[in-house]
Amino acid sequence: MNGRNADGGWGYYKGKASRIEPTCWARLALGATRDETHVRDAAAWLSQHQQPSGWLVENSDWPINIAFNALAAFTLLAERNQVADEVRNRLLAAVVASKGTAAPPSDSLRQDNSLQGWSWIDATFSWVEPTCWGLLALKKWGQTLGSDPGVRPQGLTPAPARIAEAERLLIDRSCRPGGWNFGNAMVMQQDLRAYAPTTALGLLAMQDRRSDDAVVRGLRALETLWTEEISATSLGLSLICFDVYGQPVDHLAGRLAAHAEQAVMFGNHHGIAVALFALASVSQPHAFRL
Amino acid sequence: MPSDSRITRRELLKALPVAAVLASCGRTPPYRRSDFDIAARSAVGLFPAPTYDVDFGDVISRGLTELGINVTGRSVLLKPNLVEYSPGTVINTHPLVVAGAATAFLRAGAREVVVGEAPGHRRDIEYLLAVTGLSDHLREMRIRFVDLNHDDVRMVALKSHFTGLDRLALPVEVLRSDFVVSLPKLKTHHWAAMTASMKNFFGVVPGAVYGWPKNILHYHGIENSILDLNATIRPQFTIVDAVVAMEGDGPIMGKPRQTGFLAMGSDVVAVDATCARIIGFDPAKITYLSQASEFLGHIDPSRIDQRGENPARYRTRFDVLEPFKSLQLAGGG
Repeated sequence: MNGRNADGGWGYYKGKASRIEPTCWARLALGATRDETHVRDAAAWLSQHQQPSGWLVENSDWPINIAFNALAAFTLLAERNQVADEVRNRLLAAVVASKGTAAPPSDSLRQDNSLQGWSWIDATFSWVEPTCWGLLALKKWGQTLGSDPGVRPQGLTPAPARIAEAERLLIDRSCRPGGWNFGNAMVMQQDLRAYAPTTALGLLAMQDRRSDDAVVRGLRALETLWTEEISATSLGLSLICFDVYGQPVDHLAGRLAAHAEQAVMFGNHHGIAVALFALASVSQPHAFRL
Repeated sequence: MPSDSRITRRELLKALPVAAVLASCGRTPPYRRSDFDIAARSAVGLFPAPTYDVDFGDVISRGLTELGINVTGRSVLLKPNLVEYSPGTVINTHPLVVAGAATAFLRAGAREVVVGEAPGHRRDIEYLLAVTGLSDHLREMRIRFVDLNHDDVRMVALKSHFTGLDRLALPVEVLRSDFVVSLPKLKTHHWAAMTASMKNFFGVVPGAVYGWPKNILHYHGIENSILDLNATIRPQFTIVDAVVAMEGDGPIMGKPRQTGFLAMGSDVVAVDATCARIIGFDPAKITYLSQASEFLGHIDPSRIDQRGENPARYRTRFDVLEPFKSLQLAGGG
């Protein structure tokens, strides 16, 4: 809470301007700890930054960050009573309409460049993290449709075609030993490495396709990756992921708890909030269970 | 471009930056000549560092003295090359070189030294700092690290427009620093032929605005982006970690190559051109160095005053990927 700005949002570090990503994660973490007042403030900060286009914009001079808008959509779907339906629905409509660019086939990449998921910013290629957040937002939306008709933007469906193509993209970009890099799985005939945070996000986005080979390999890869990549973000996302997949998490939760002091010293609010959410949510109903 | 044509990634990256091509094909250069005042001559220092066991504070202090660098009372930002971690590889600027540079600038009277980086390959800077050992050195020296990927940013008018872009968001910590120092690792690069002082500035572009990888730079052309970033940031000094460099499929998957020196200078173009010659490239054939020589610095050896060791002492010929063999100097470097 010490890192919260007077405007109700969070920057990436104390004293920095409020940004979408750390504010979303702070809001998710505080929701998991039942801190209702600050959850409302964070949701208000997010909705105050919405443009008529539906996008949340940190600064009108900057490109729209599509990945963090999808994270915001996911966040605002997780606690639906915090913002007006219209805010959430316009944001969802913008996310659904956004697509990373397709590119011609390439001999040096073992991938299908025609697949379109989500990009970081407009008019660029689809990458793993934005596509994971796009998928998580749409799947969360689908999960809530049955219980809350207010979350269905007029004239839009939960975009099954977008979900299917984005899933194909993630399967296509899965690294050979399993898991996901930030970008491609291979460049110039060289396999790229998978990372723990992107692998955990990929697995969370694909949690309803558990028998898929990419998911099975990804889960196996993450079992090793989290032991090698010690940070609040890496351990936190891995813990959320294994918990969602029903895997034993005691050892990982212990490692994350032991790392908490170091993470607080490092001071990255995004990482701290991911860790806090993960530790507070073990075995509980929470936003990432779809 | 027909959708069924098969192209290489390099061809794809080159085909995408339409605006950049238009900008660079114009009759006038994509910058105002009056904005760039290059000294008639530049000094480049080469200082021996056969292994990472040397005292880099001393080596770099010697370089600052011989090159006449005055940082008294100034805030210095060190920008290392921190990309990825893989045991046994030489992807990153060695933490001892970073620590040595911090020591040398503080010794030279800098008001403050901070280290800043915005990795374009790995988002998780907490992990990367710890696993590379850099965080231990910085903590011990009480040197502040700035996560440039997640810093506050300001939109800045670019001083050249090879990319076709007018403005880019850049971290405020870079913009308010009095003295920006590039602190790269010398490596071959599978898109740009070579990476050293100039290419290192890809790592100031904030990922929290542009994403990972920083695709906007690829779309507008890697070499064009290198030029626009250096024209705009105008780093005041560079220290190249060429103790153990990388050859082959750099900047991540190449092989270590012992080279045994640090290269330093205020003219980043001249320092990179000198490094290029040492490892067997003709800098005039590396597009971004050739274009930079028209407005940012010198690549012509007759305009570069050599300090410290003679480049001939380190001259070698790096293994390079097939597409870059045509950029190599004739006769074995």
